[in-house]
Amino acid sequence: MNVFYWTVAGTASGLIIVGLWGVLTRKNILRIGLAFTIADTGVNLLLVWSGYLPGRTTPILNGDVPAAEAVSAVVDPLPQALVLTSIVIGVAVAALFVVVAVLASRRLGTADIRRMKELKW
Amino acid sequence: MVTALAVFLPLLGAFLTAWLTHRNERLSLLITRLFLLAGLAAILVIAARLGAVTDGGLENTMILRTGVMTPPLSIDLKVTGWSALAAVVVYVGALLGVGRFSGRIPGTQPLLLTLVTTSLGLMFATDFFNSFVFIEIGSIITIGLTAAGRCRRRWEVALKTAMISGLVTILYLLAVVIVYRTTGELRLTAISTMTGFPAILVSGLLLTVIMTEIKAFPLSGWGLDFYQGVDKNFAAVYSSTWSLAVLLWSARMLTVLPLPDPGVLARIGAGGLVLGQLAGLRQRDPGRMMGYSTSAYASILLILAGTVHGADYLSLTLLFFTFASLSKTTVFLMADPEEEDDPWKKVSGYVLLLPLLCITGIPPFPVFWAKIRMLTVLADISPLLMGAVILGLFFESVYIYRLWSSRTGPWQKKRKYFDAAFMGAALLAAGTVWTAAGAEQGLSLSGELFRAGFVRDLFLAIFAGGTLLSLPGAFRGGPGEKSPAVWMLVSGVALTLLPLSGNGLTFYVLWEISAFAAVIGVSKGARPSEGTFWFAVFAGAAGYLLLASLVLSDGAVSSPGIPMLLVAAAALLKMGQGGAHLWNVRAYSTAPSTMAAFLSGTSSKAAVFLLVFSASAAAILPLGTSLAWIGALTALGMAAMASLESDYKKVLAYASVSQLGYVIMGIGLTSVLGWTAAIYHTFNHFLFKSILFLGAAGVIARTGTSDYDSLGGLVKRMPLTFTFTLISVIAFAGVPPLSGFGSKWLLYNALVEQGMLPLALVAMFASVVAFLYAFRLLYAVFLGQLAPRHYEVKEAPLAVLAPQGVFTAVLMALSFRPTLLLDRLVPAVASIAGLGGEIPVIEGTALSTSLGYWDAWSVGMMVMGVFGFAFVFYWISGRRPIHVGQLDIGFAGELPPSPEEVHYAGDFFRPFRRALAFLPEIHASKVFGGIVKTADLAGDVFRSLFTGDARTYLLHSLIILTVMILWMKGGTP
Repeated sequence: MNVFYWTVAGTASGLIIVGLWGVLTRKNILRIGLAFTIADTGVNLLLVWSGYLPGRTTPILNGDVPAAEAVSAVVDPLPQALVLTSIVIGVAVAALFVVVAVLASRRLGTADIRRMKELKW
Repeated sequence: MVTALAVFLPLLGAFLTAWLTHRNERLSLLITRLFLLAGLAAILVIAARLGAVTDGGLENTMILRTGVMTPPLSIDLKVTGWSALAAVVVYVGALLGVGRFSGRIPGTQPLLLTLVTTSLGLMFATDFFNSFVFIEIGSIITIGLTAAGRCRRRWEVALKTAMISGLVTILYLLAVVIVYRTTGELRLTAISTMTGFPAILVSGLLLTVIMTEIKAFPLSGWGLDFYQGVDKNFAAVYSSTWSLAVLLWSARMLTVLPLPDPGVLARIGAGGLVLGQLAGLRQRDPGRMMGYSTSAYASILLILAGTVHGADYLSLTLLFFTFASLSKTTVFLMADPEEEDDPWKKVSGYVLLLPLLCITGIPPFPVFWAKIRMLTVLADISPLLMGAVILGLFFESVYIYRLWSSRTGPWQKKRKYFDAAFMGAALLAAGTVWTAAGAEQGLSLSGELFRAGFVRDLFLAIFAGGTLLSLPGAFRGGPGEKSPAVWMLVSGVALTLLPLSGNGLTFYVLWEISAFAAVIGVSKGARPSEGTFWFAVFAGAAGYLLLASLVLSDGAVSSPGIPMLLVAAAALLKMGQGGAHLWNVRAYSTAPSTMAAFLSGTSSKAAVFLLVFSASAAAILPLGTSLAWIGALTALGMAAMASLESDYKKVLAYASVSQLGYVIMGIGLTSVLGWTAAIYHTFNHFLFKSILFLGAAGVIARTGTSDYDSLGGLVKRMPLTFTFTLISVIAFAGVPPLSGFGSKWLLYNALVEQGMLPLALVAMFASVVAFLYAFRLLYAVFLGQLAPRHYEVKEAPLAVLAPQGVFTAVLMALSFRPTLLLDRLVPAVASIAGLGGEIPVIEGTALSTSLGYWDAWSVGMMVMGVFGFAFVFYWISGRRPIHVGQLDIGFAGELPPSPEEVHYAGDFFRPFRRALAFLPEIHASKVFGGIVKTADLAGDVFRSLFTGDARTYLLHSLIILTVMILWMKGGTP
């Protein structure tokens, strides 16, 4: 394991913590949405990280990586495929969040989450 | 192929309707329905192929390959008999809801269809990443459809749901990363082999995700807000599709979590159930109540996952959640989403009854069978856990009752509005029949749960006779009341079958049916809410005590030890003993009078029956002496209360509880004499209390009031009612020669025989006090001055008069020839094992004990002789009576004030009240009010967790996550 490996893991965890911190402390719902995407990015990074194998190359079969040796030469390709899905879904969720946030703030006349608690107890 | 169709047909439909939806709305709706129907047909075929409803069929499996490769390169779906049946409910729920939701809000069909496919996908998913995709799509659609709804608060709900799903995504993906990193696999089942800290981390993350998604307390805050603010017709669809899918997915996940100790789940669930439902007690918003109920089911899932395994787990989760979902869908379909504050405002209680009963799992509705099996399993593991669960379920039934009882709307006539809801109700009814027929321990009316014999037949006669004789008067309610006849009949039939129960389960089912039918009957009164509420709460509490006893004694109604104590407590509650009279007084006084007659005269005997047979089966009655004291003090206290009360029906209610105190006293003695006296008095009480309440029903029907101050002087207007009332008053006051004396005399004998002189003194003193209210009752209603507005009052209606005549005839026969009853009763009681003391001897018409003898026939003849002699003497003495009009009174030259003022019935026993003023006043209403207030306060503490700020809910999830990880870390070295 090398420095790079732990740097990525650390960055990812940092992003998640920053994101969650933002979600819990921001009052503006758009900022909360932004905080979610930060945390999401961290999670995605972590997902890619989980397929990392030291000293290997990208899982793209070209001249450098003959198909026959691919298994021992490239990093785990599966998380990379998964993270694509995750990113796409993340974009969809973020878009929906923004739509809801904008419409909600228009309808309620405020973007302050502290004033969106008519439903409680 | 069929499997693929079953899953993806709705998705196909979604593409089609997406194109159609703004071009031709009706066609689009039709196509939506067609695709759903086709999908339903396909899933039914699959369920049949898997043999899902056969023995062990829930575990049969079918794999659906959606690509050419194997997972994780393609999506592999696994359909089991279990999930196929749940998928049927998903389709049914969507079909029921689509008209009300998409029909009202155009353009929602494609999303709704996609939601169905997504729900099925999640239920059938086999690996982590597919599950993730389905969870995300499901959340997106949920947020979208929430925002599409037509209610004011939808934005707040959508935003909160979006925030929650944002957090769930992060936590879930973290778990996926750890799973993949550790095991190199993504199959859902792969995690079960994990160990060490990664296992703890994954368990914590997934458990938090699951608890948030299924809305288990304390992570239920967003769910409560969701159900409160969402468009109720979307909630209808949501409950049976996405909500059910998430529950079943969680049910699978919970079994494979690498927890150090799965029992933790049960404890989290039970704790959440008690505290979460406690928080729900104070709830007034009906939508939110449904949210609390959802959270109860979520807790039940956790409990099941921690305690039940294998095939049992599958069948129980299926029973619980499919029927709960369907019931919720039906309830939400009845709502009017445009009504923000109370969507069920326009609905009558009748239409909501069935789905709400299904939700609470009252027998014999489907969830009940699952409940009783769950409790049986829990009882073996830990009775404490079982007690907690029962308490939580009791809390749930209280607020669900409140939701039901505040329905005042008219019967909804708009078919268009309601046909889907009725369809749902019909399905629930069919499910009820199906589950009851297939229940493992079936219902049976043939068996020897209660030893056949005279005692059992006597109770049978009481239940059948009492129902038949109370019924005629019930067809027409009194002033301002509705007719309780149907519910009285249901309750009465269940009561009549009670002694014939073949097993404990049947007994409990009949007991509960009888109780809730009676609650509905009581609710027909003129001012029902408060009395009905207390009746429902006490009947519910008694029911749950009985359920606990049933579960602990393995199918019998009771067994020695704790179960017997529980049964005794249930019986005392039901009879209003030891302070529980609160419900009797409030319910009897607000119920329709004939219903009160039925409850007091007939229905209360079910508790005596229960106590007598449980005690004789258990061969011993623990704390018999305490029981006797409770009975004695109740008899005395209630007699005093009856004397000071000024409401006709309340007096009778107090009197009823007081008289049942003698019964409890007799049973508590556990001697032949005591039990003979108790059962004898039970029968007497049945007769005279029925007469008194039916008499009151007649008086109230004619005069429209039950207030002593407004009554009086009715003797000439209602002579027959007066005669019957007089006879029963003499009977219950325990004056010879009528039969009340016989049972009390026997009771005193039993008390003296057992050496319980202080108790005998209390009993006798209570009898004296009974005199006070007996006399006052006669005076206030029938004697004294007649109010001018009652000049035209006629005799009571025949429907209540004729039954009184029958009761009186039996009472008179029994008074003069008690041996008709005792000839059979004494040997029957003497043959019950475990009863000590002497056996009274019957010779001819006389009954003798070692302390003396009582010959009712001779005494009766003597009394008749004395009266007859006086009458004849008076008649032949030649003095002709002068007829004086009832209002012809002189006031020593003064002009008499109005008759009402002369009729001093109001504060009749003021001197006694003053004389006893030094005693501390203990009011049952204050005690119970205090209990309710404490529960409410405690509930408020937990309720205040749900601040309405979505960030708080996220924080809850994170705190729970941290706590769980630390807890599990502490548990494993």
